Amino acid sequence: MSAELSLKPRHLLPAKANKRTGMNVSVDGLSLYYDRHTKALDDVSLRIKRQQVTAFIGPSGCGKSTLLRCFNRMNDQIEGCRIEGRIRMDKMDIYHPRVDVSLLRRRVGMVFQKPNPFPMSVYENVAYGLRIGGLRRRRELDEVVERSLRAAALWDEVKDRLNENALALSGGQQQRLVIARTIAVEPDVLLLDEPASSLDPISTLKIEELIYELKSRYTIIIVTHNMQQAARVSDMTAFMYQGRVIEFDTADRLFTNPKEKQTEDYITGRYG
Amino acid sequence: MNNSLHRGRFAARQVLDRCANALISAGGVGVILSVVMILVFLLHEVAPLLSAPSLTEQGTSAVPASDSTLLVAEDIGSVGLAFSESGEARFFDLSRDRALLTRSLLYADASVTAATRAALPWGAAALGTEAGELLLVRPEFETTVTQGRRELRPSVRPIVPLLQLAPAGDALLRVALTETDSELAVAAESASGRLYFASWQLDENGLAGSANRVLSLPPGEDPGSSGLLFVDARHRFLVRVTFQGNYTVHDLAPVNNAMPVPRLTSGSLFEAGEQLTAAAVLFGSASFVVASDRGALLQLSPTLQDSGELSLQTLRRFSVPGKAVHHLAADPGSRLFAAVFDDGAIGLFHSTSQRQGWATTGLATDEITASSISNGGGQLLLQDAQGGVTRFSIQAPHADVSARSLFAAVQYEGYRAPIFKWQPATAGATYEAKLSLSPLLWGTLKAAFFTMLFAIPLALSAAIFTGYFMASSMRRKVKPGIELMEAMPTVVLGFLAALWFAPWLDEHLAEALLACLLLPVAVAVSGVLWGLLGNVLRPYVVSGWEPLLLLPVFAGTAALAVFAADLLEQWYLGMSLKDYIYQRWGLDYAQRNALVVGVAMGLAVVPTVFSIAEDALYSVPKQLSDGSLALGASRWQTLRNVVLPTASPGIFSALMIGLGRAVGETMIVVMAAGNTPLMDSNLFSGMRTLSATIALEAPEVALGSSHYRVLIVAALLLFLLTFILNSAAELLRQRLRRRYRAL
Repeated sequence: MSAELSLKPRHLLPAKANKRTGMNVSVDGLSLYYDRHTKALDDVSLRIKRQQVTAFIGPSGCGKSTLLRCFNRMNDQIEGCRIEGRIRMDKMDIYHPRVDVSLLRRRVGMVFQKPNPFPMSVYENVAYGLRIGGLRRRRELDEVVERSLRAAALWDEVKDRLNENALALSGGQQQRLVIARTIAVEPDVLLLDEPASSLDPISTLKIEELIYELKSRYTIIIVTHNMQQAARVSDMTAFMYQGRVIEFDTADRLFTNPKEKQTEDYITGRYG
Repeated sequence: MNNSLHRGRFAARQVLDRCANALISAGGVGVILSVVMILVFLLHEVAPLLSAPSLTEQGTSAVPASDSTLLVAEDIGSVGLAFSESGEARFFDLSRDRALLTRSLLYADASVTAATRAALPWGAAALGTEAGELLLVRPEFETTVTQGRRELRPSVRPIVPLLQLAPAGDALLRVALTETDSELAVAAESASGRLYFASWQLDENGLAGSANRVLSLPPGEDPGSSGLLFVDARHRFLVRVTFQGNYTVHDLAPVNNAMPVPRLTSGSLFEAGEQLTAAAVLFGSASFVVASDRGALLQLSPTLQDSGELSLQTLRRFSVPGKAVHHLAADPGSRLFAAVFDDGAIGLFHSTSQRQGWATTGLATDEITASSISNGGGQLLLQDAQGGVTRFSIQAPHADVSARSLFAAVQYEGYRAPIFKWQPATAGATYEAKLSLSPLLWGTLKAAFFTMLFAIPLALSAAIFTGYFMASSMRRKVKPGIELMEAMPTVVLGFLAALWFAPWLDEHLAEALLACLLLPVAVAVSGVLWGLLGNVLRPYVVSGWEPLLLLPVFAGTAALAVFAADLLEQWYLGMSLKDYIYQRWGLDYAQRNALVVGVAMGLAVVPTVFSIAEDALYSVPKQLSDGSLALGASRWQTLRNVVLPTASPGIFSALMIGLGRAVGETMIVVMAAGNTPLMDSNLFSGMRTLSATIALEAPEVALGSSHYRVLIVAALLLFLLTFILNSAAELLRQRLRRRYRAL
């Protein structure tokens, strides 16, 4: 299974052969310990489908971001962090010892809560992942940069400012730039960690529209505090509480007719 | 209801706020003010160096006799002494036109045909007579202060009895006199053209017994018409220059088997038709100046060339506006001399620094018969044919220092070529001070260079590792540990470097250099091995503390270096590495050298650079490196492409502050640099830095002297260097802040 992850990154293949539809992600009995005593995730099991938006909601500290960061192994950086259980993407075990974490991360892109463009030009930000992957040819870079910026609905706003410092963009533009940067390397899974929480309503709306558009080509997993947002953008919603998935269902059902008392209390605003 | 209470509390708070405001402002302004005051003080102390030598006319007085051939003035300039042609010494009050004392030194109807004085303060005077006799006297001024009034009691004391130098009747037409602490030498030319030389030992009273040596040399060309005779202070050379500018240099070394006949060399100074118009021996009797009617002004010194040949070296040509010089008068206490020109202009020149000062006067210079500078150098006296003495006061306290003498190579007396040299004083009173800041500046930069060469790789790699790779539990211990090194007094570092490290390195140079080469290799190899064996070893190592595994690697490398050095020296080179370096590249090994300084000062600089650079790296927002990692970049790629560029201004500012520290650091270089003011880039030779020079010499320097002011210039240079470096660092830091404010 892991052998597939050591394949050539897909952006180096001809663009036509590259019709993507995302990957199915399955989580089985996942527990995560920050140290011996702190258990951040407790026996989480989920089935996440391709071409769908899956949202994680729950109060602060419930483990939804931690869970999200398990999908691209960002938790590996944390000293003493330990994991039990399995996460599989189209049947590959991403925690298999022979998995190349860099390649995994190329296929599982992530957008963070705060826009984090690099202090370089707009162009270089989008091209960063490609350059890291060894792509040097200027024409191909130009092509991918334009395609990614168009896909992130940013092209028209920045096409004349490609060589300006990315930090000069507005917060909403920066976040869309980060999304463009992430999809430039053509991942299968897109992880969004509260992508609109630091943005104004109009920028938030644009991001949500973007998520809707990207859905057809990726597996999108989004963490959000905003229940309306989860209801608006997600197909499936998981409610998490104290490291466990309390309820996982379609967004319609979870928000209109929750099965669990805790879910109902949360979505009706009794805590959180 | 209780309005007054409210207002009172509000007022009290306002007063407190204002007080705090004022206090903080005063503190801030005070800091800026004190830095500015230091700068102002330094500039104020340096300012006198900038004033050019100047002359001001002080009036004319009459000398009781107009026929004097030689003038001498006491140091405040109140008493003059004229030797008349009849052999009288006449003391007179310069300011009140009054004769003080007249003493006849010779017999009746004697006639003085030549006179000169030694180029020393309170030097002896020599008179040659028409009858071929020589008289050596010492003018003295005894000062007594009675009831607040300063009285001078002048006298003239013979040094040796009247000496018949030339055969009776062969008049002495020119004499030269050279005096040192313990010796006196005279050269004279008689009307027949013979040259005579005699020397004496002086006792503690400045008197002489019978002559050590008397020498007579055969006549040269144009007998009896020399324009200048000169004997150097070591009594090695006798120089004769004719009015046509033809010179002869005689070797006065005693004739022996290897050199059976007295040697001489001759040549010409001027073009055909150019005439010598004036000459003067400079202070210390190592060189003299000659002037021509076409405006040439040369400083000359007789020397032995490397081949042993005699020669007359032109030390320098002074640039003067092509006018004829009428008179030259040298200061008996410094290398300053005055040249009186055709058109009445008077120029003051300093030979070492080549500084000039000019005054224009209405004097008819062709009527001037004698000229002299007073013993203390404060007055220039010019006597005209009518017996009037015009006095000028000389203001040239720091004529020996110029931008050229501080920073350019200077042709000093006794050296074959211009050099950069710092040697402000020796025991000799006539020493030509060598005040070139260039070797000190060079030493400062050299020490800083080798320091940074040692410190940058260490400090930056430590900062990168600690700030980016190290587990935070280890970082919490390592960072304060390294920063604690900063608290180590540099005097302790200097002490260890000079008394332990330098001797150790002297004996183990090959081991140390090999270890420097092998360590990076060993670390790289360990890295590769860790990559291969990491999974096997990892369970046995506490996570995050893997670097400790390098300790045995270091120990092993050191052992290997010792072994390999032995092999290298014994089997490959066949000699010690120091000998090899000397034979192969001609580099001398000084025990206290740039390598020792680089290591010792490097250790002092590492904590500073490390601390600031580490802060810069650590404060690169986590979200940036996360963003890069999430795109599939490895940690090294993230470091190179995102973290280092983002932290670069901070790192650069760390380097600048480190460099500023290395430039200003004092104790380590005082103790470990050897303090030799050399100008080479040899790793194995010492140096003398600006800071060390100030530390070593400031406590002993005479306040207000040129040496003192040059030390202040050194301080100013140091101040500016560190100020520029620190300001550049601060500017960069602020740019960094602006650039990443949006993050």
